[in-house]
Amino acid sequence: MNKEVVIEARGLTKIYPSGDKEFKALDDISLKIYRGEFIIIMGPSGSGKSTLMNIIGCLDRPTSGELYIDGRGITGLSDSQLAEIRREKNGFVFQSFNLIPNLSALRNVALPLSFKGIAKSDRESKAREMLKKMGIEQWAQKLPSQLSGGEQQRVAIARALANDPAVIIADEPTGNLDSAIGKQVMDLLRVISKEGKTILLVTHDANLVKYGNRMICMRDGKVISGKTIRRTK
Amino acid sequence: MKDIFRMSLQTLRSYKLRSFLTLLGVIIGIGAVIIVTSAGSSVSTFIERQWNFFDPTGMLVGTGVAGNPPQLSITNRVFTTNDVENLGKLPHVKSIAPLGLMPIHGLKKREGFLNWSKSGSQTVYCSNPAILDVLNLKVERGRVFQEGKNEIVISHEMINTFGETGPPLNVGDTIYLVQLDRSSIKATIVGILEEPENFSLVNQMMHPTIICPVDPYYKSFSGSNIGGILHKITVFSALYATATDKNHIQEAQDEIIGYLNSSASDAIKYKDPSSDFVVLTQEYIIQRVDQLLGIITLFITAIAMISLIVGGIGIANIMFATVTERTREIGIMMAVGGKRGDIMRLYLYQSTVIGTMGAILGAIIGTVGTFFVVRMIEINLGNFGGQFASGTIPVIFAFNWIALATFVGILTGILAGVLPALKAARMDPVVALRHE
Repeated sequence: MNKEVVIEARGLTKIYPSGDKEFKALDDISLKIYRGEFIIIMGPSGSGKSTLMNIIGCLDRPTSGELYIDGRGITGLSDSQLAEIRREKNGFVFQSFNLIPNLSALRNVALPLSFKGIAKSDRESKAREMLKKMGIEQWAQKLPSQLSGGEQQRVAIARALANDPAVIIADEPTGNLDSAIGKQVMDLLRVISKEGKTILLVTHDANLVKYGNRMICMRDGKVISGKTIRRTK
Repeated sequence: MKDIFRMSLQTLRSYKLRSFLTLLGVIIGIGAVIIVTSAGSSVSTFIERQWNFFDPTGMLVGTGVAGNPPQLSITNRVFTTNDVENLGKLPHVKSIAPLGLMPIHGLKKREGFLNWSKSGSQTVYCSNPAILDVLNLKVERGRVFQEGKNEIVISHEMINTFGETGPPLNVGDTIYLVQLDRSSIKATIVGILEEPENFSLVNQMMHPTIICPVDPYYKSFSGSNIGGILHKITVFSALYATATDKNHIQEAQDEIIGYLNSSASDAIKYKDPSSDFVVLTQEYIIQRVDQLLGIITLFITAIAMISLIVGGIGIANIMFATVTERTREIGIMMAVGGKRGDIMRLYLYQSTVIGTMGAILGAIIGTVGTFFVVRMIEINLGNFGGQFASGTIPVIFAFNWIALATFVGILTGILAGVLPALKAARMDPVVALRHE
């Protein structure tokens, strides 16, 4: 495996005020994630896995600690520089798909590109290419409400890929899908992973562990184990 | 930038009814301001014309109480022909016409054995031909009377003095003016005046129906005993004058008052010492009318402005609702790389588009609406039988107000969008994404 580091965290800590006390959502987390890895992050509710995802996804800032994404340190960056990193380096896939309801599938996929300032025809051809890759190019003009859950999630994955990001962050991507459709989505993610994208996937579902090649277990804001998974097939 | 603008339009389009209703608020506000100000300026112009008794440089000289407003009476006969002559020589006085009022008892016309008479008291204006210039009267048919001759000029509506069955009066006809002592004076009609453009109660009172030369008709004398011989001196109760031009009205006025109060003046001898000489200029009358109409228009405009402000609050309100409703979408946009500035612009453009569209549509509707409103006022004036005023009200657009209302509409859109857009831009993406 290529050993190029894509994400490096050093002593990440996130503290939320909670009444008089403080709540440590992340407690001194250090980890390295390499290019092309498919990481499954597991842990009970409140273990800090979502907070970790938000910080790695540059949606949130750590209270202390350092984070490097694709070689770029994010400490001290402005809101708009963080937005740029999200745009350039990260792609998000959410449990509830999070498509913009009044935009067609095609325009949803093209959205990150429009924030980047790419010309309409270029971003639409790119978006179409992504939809084709997800096997749903025929739904390009449909609104999210006209698509099934599985189809919506494919649109969301296409959107996450549109910017050609270094990292795909997926938060319970199969949580709202039945198991057959969920499997299709996971298969797609595995294909993407094999093409060299780094994927971080947060889940409760132990059945998804088999798709990854490393599992990180969290509890009380700490990583309690990180082990390489032997592929079953 | 262009894409965010396009996205804003997309959002507005996806909430058609909501956008339309918000738009309506702005349209009504701006339309109302434009209609009120334009109808106001149309009616003002109309009413001003009603108060145009004299030439723009014209003035009426009489006695009364000087002050603001001046009280002018035209019943004290104090001005002599000598005064008229001397006033005419003042540097900034262009023309001067004495006003001698001669009450008559009726009119008669004879044609062979046929007789027509019309009784009813009216007042004949005795003056010189300059009166036509001062009062802005034009001879439609015939010519102006000559002094020293039994000639008169009559107003247009006098043509039908003897009713439908009687002969219409025309240039060349001879009629008799029945005086208060029932004696008649012969008068040949030499000219008929044009009908005034706007006919109203106001200018009906001020416009003469019969104008004649002082000599031989006017017989109002003041006795003056000089050397044991009683001299009869012709005296007038008022004078009309015009200034040489619009920039010298004040000078003409000052010169007239200066002369009348000087030792050269006859009027000062006949005048009641407790009263003043008073000059009422056309300019002053119009200023007063303008002032009054200006206050009324401003008051109604202020009310219309409130509706514009309400329209603006409507935009802000709907934008806040939209931003709250779309919290999650804002989170999504931030997650896929939208910067705070992008989000801010997305909502600011929406409110600006509503403001601008509302302003443009409001300006169009206001402009078209002005025509209807002015016509409606006109019809209502007609329902009063033209008693107060009648005629066509000119449509005069208050262009400065149209420009201002349009500008304020656009500004309202921008301002109304600022707070909601800031609210959207300041959202924490993590919290926004969790929003249900």
